[in-house]
Amino acid sequence: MRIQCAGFYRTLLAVTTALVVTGNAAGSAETDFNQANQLYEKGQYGPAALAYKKIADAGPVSPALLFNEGNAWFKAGKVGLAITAYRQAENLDPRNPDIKANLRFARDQVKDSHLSQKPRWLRWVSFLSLNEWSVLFSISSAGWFVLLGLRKWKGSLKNTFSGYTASLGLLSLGLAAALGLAVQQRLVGKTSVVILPEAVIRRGPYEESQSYFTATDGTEFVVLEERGDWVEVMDGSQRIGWVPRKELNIIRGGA
Amino acid sequence: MSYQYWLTDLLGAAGWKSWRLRGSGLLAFCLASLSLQAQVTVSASLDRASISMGESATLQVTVQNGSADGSPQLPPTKDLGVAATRTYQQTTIVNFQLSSTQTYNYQLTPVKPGDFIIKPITVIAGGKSYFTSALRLQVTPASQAPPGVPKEAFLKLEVPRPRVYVGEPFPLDIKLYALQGRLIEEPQLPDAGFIIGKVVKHQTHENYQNQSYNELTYRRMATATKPGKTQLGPATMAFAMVDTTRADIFGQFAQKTVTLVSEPITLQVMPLPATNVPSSFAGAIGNFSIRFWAGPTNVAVGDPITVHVQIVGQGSFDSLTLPEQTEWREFKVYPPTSTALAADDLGLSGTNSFEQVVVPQNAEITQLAGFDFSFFNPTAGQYRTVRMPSIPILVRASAATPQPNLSVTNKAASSERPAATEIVHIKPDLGMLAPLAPPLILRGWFIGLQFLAPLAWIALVLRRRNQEKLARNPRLQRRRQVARMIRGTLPDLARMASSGAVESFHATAFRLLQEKLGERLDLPASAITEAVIDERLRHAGAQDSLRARLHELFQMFNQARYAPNSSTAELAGLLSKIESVLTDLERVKG
Repeated sequence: MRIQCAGFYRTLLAVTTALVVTGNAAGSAETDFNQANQLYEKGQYGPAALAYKKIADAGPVSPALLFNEGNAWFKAGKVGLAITAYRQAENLDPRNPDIKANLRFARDQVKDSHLSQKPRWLRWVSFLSLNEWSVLFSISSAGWFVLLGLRKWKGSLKNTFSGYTASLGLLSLGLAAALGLAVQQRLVGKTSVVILPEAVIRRGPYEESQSYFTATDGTEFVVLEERGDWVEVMDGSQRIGWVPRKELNIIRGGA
Repeated sequence: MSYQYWLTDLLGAAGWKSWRLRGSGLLAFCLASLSLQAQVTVSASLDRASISMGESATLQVTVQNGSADGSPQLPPTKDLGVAATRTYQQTTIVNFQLSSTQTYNYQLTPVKPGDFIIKPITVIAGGKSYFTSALRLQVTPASQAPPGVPKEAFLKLEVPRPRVYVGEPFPLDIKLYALQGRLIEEPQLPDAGFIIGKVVKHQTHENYQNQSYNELTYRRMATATKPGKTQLGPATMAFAMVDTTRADIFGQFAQKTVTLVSEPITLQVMPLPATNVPSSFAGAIGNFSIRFWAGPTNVAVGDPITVHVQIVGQGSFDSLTLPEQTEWREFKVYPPTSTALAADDLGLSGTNSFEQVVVPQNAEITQLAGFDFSFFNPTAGQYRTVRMPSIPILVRASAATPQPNLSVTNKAASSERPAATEIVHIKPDLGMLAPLAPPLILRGWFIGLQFLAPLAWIALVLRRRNQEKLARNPRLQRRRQVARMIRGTLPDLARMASSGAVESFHATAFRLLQEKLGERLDLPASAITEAVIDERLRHAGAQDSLRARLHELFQMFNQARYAPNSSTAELAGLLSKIESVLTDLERVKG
């Protein structure tokens, strides 16, 4: 019993310490965030962007932090880095109209940047984040199994719950399909964004390879293959070439 | 052709055969009368003195009046690839003078342009060394046709002028000139520093250096993206041509694939002038004329007026936008729609028509203010501004202000939200922080959680099946009930034994044995008597010792019914006997 009590107190202490540390980190992040905002308002966009990035690299992030980072990079003339930050913010908060507007605005500044758009019937998947789809599916499927279980537990409930069971089963199947699509869009495959003023896309993964075309800052590509320091990419016009990894930001999932 | 085959040709196959049959002596005589009077001579020649990169030359080494001991020894030449192709041998008799010629062919392929000297080639014939004279091969860069030498195919890259402005669209031609051959792929052109548009092809014939070539032109629209001296090209293209130096056994020439490379073009890309930039300049580059009209011009307040702006000319139609109308403050202005009509395949010239609906908001308005449209004319190198005059309108007062019925035709107009002109400002609050962790779907605990509900359901399904199985098997059900009863009653018996509750102990123990025997023998518990033990248990395979112990117990219970005076120790011993019997009964077949 004494041993169990000691274990309980140790756990309590660890949880309390973690909460205090997290609280301190949040407080520090809030202060740093305000300082970065001040830099932005003074027009010091480059330092502001670096300050936002420092907060993001240090630990927990929020959509607002990544949104502001995107704004600062955009104002500093780094469209590619801005698009990267906006896309990370969009992953956390997919329905935020401000994030969508700024991402669209940043993309509009880039000539020939757009990857081929998803079909309209697939776009609704982006309405929820991957975690939201996961939780919805989890609740729905658990509810379905609970209803199925209740029918087995007490046979008299079989008729009572038949309509709910069928509806929840269909809903679970639909959510499973949506979750699969969301996983396919957000986790399967990678895209990349050019982060230099100009990136030369070559026909092979060597400096000596013939240059194919040039992409400007913010141009987005689908990543086909990664080989050492080189990445094979494809643009919206289906042009395929190789570009050094350092000239891109690689983001998991589709654009 | 060998000596024997030459004679076969001369006499015909049948003649040669009969001639051979008549006697080889005559042949020996004739051959002996022939003599090789000439001396061995060795020479080397090239089919062409000058070739372009991507082409091959044929080197021919000829040995006359002798037979080479092995192949000629070619000296190595840097940056010049050598491949042996065919060897010929020919023997001729003219005026009883026998002469033979051996010809060795080599294909020479240069790696880079320049002058190549092929040093004297050594040929060993009859044990003696003979040397050819040195040869010179001139290799020019690709598609640079050497004067006076017609080329079979070459590529040219052409632009209308060597100086262009940043953002100015200009046509870019990649021209393929070919006497014969076959296309393998479209021409490739590196586009660093340029935006290259879609391709338009056309084919014609053209005389070039007194040769009539098939000319295939790939025309594209190009736009320079940065100022400075910029190289465009070279364009490359894989092309298949007939190789006259190689033929198959049927005499058909083989095909060779060559990569045609054009000369690159150096363009001077100039930035747009930074001085005298009109305030209304919005990036239009080219030469344009503009028309501006509106209708109806007699309306009530709230009635829509459609404004038409038509821009005609040559230039960057992509970058054409309707100038912002700062003086239309008293109108409600709807987003414009536009229709582009290209006058050529590349879209370098045409008409761009804008339509915009404006709604007067008060009756004091007397005109639709004109506006300026500015563009940069690259030919003149100057900015030009066209002033559109104001259009007088009459606006009547009206109680109702109906909204215009918009006929939208393009994406910009159909969008509910007007195009943004600035990014949304930063957020003042940090919001809720969350670690950038992998999504839930990739976390082990979340995946594990998904299995809980299905596992619980599976457990319930198994439970239900078990219940149904029991319902179908009453003996098994009874067996479990009895086992449960024994498990619950044995501790009670122990308590009764320790507390000396003799009567209760015996009664309970007796009932327990009845229940167990009844379950084993599939009889009601009340039907179990000492007599049943012998009748039924024997058939069930119970051992004699077990039956004896059961008899003993039954007799003890009968005695106790009449004289219940056992001690606590006796009851404890009895309990252990009962437990032992119950355990042994478990082994009896039911």
